[in-house]
Amino acid sequence: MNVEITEKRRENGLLSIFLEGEITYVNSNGVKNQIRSLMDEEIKMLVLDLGGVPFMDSAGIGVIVSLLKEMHVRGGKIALAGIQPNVGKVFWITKLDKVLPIYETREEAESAMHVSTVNNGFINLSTN
Amino acid sequence: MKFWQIENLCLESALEQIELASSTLLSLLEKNGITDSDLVFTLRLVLHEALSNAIIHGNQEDKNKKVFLRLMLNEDRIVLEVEDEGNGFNYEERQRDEEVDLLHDGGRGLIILESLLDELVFKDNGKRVIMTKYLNRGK
Repeated sequence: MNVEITEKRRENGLLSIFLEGEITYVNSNGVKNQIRSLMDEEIKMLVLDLGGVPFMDSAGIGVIVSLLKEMHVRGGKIALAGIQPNVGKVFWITKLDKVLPIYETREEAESAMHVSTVNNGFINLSTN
Repeated sequence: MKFWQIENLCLESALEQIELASSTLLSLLEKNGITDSDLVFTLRLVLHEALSNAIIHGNQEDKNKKVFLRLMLNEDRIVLEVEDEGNGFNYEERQRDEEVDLLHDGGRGLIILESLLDELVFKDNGKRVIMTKYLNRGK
């Protein structure tokens, strides 16, 4: 049971990835390590597009919580996008929708990340 | 479907076994025309949570210990029973602990079970959990 991870955008401290497959107790450690391997030190904004994830158990939630904590340690941010309705139920039950910014699309999440980062003033984005 | 249809599985204490159990559940549901995606998702999720609790916390992933799964389906409900060979746990105490930290690394399984099931009963000092979901009503 593999999860395919596709890098969609990497620029100015932002890493945006699309996940495809189920995230469960069986593969959660592998998924976490795969994502971490893409996060070099410059990454301060992480967008996870879960549009290709039809099923997730609490181990999947654990992966996201772990990445959220890691981004906090770096002084960075994380946002989720594209969550399918059933998977959204897991976030709602565990109340993680209250601590994680969730957007309908990856593009919205990426824009929101840039805006909030500029407003916070801790990263200067290139206008090139 | 007037009578109970029953599937019994004896699983090793390894997380990979959850896939086998999950396939067995999906096949039982499909065979009986239960295709509602919300219900199927819910049943699969509670199965994953109960089995991972049994394997990780109950049997401590000890390969010498087994997890016993029984799936029972009739016309109005499905009952999932999971039993491990660990030392059990205090359900009420665990509930209190879990109310604390949203960002804890684990411990969400019981919250999910309580939220999604119509009946949740722990027996034998927490070593056996009986989970019931009604097919036409409930949460």
